[in-house]
Amino acid sequence: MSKKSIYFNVLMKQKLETLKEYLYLLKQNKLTFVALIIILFLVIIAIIAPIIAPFPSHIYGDVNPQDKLLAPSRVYFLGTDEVGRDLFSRVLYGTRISLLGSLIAVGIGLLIGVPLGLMAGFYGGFLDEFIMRIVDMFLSFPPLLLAMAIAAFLGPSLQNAILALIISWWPWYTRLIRGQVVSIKEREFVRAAHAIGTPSWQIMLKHILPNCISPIMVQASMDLGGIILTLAALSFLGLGAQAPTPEWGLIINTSRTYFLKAWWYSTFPGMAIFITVLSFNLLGDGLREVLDPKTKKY
Amino acid sequence: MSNYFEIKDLKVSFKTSEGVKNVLDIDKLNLYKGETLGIVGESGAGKSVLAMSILRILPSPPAFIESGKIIFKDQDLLLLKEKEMQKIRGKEISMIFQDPMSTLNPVFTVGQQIMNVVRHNRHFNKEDAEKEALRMIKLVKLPDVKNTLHKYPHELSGGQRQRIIIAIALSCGAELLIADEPTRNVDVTIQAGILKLIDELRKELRISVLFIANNVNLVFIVSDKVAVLYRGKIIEVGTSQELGVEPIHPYTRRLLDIVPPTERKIKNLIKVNLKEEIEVDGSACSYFCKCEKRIEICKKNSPILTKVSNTHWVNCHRVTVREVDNESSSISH
Repeated sequence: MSKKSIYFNVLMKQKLETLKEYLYLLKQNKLTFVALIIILFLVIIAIIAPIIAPFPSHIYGDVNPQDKLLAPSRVYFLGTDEVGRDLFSRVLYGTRISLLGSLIAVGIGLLIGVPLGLMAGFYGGFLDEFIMRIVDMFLSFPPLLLAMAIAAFLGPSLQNAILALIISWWPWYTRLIRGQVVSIKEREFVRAAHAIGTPSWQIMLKHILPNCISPIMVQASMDLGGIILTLAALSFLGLGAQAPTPEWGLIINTSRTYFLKAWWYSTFPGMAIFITVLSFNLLGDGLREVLDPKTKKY
Repeated sequence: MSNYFEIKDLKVSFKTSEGVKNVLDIDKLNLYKGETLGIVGESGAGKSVLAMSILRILPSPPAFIESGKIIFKDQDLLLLKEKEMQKIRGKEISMIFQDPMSTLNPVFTVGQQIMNVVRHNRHFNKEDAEKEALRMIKLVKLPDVKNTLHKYPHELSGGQRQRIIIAIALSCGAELLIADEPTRNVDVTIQAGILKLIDELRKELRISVLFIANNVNLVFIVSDKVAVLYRGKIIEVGTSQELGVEPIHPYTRRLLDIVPPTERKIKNLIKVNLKEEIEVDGSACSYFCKCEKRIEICKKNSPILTKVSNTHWVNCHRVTVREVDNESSSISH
């Protein structure tokens, strides 16, 4: 064996070790494990939704009034809505919209919030004041209310609802990161890095950022759930996705009228929201336990 | 041997809510190439402030350097721009910090950390950086080099971490190593190992060491030259032999006297330290209150660093005024 391949083996072994450790930790946190499985399942559904949906044409516009408001049966697993569309196909497809929407919102929120928080905490002084006062301005509104106002201002559509969510969500990350950076920047290893001539951008990216990644991960995974909920809320209020988009909140909104006649119509999209949000929250809790050495269970 | 590191009239102060407080006032201090200069003093004497002001990493505000010169290889470090200073740090002058437990970044393996420094400062590519990291770990005499490279700081003991820190500090070819109490949080047996290592590396790499410690024993064993710091002032400086055999300043005497400690000595020390602070105006000698051998002049003006021999300088009136050991003129009891 050449020297390189020996080194490669050592490296692989170590990767394997870490993987084993993570799996072990997951086994210790059974609830997190279940949540992770559910989320993986949801992601797969989101990807292949149009393929596995029994009635792909029902997802958007197709109307067949002769089948309206049918109870769950062998043909329509979750029943049909008021224009005869298959609810199962629509809820499946709704997974894609919700997951993608919240992923985009959280992702862009992180992209805006993290660098700003990093700069505010690291440089301090005027820049810190400036950024944090803007953040305070945003955070002084209740998040749903701000998102509603922005969505209403931009005009109701799914894209605008996501944009509204980004605008009302990024300040949370900025505040979170800034607090972390301020405390980590005083740690000895940052001073040491400075003393041996590490330039400040490298201190910021290599020493400070990796050390505050775990609270971001916890917050982001919780927010993935939170944003799905808020997105559904916006759609429910008519400020998000517009008909005939199969968005969960929107489906529940239209189902209100038929609530007493067709229980399945609002129940199943509601359960989809419930399960998704719960899984993300459980994942966030689990991540916190795994990432925080104080609550780590061995 | 050329005189290549020199501090002249350095004054460092802190801006506090009670006004400007002078914390460091060094008349002169020099270090020859390849030499170890030890700095002793009680906590709060300004040892770390001195170390940090050399590298200009004092948190400012509140700290600021009022005046003075720090000359290193014919350039005044205090006049350099931040960018030029950045090139000095690590590459010319490097520093080891007090606490090995917190000086390493917890999220990277020690190998990554060494490689990071080497890659950035010396522009090595990945493979060379790794070879260099292995070489550095070997240099600081850590066993099981290959595995250590892939370990996280929390998997190493305090002594091992301190060795890694030394490796990082020296990985960019620094000529002057400032060791700020490198053995503070490690136990005695490990201390000896680290001191030996620093001394060996000094000879091997032909570097100079500025060794700071509050443990008098250590400093005298390791250093060629020792400076005693008290309340920000150098009160005595000389070769470790001169100071060890024939200390002149009362404070140095007391420092050396306490080793080895006996019950009587400790009781005496406590008594001295509890002596009430007598109201003296700013012009008095800074050691006036606790001095056993104080004389009238000590109250009026503070002494200056006076030459005893070529290498031995003392900051005490009892040298300037040659009425040494005249007990009748002493106002203490």
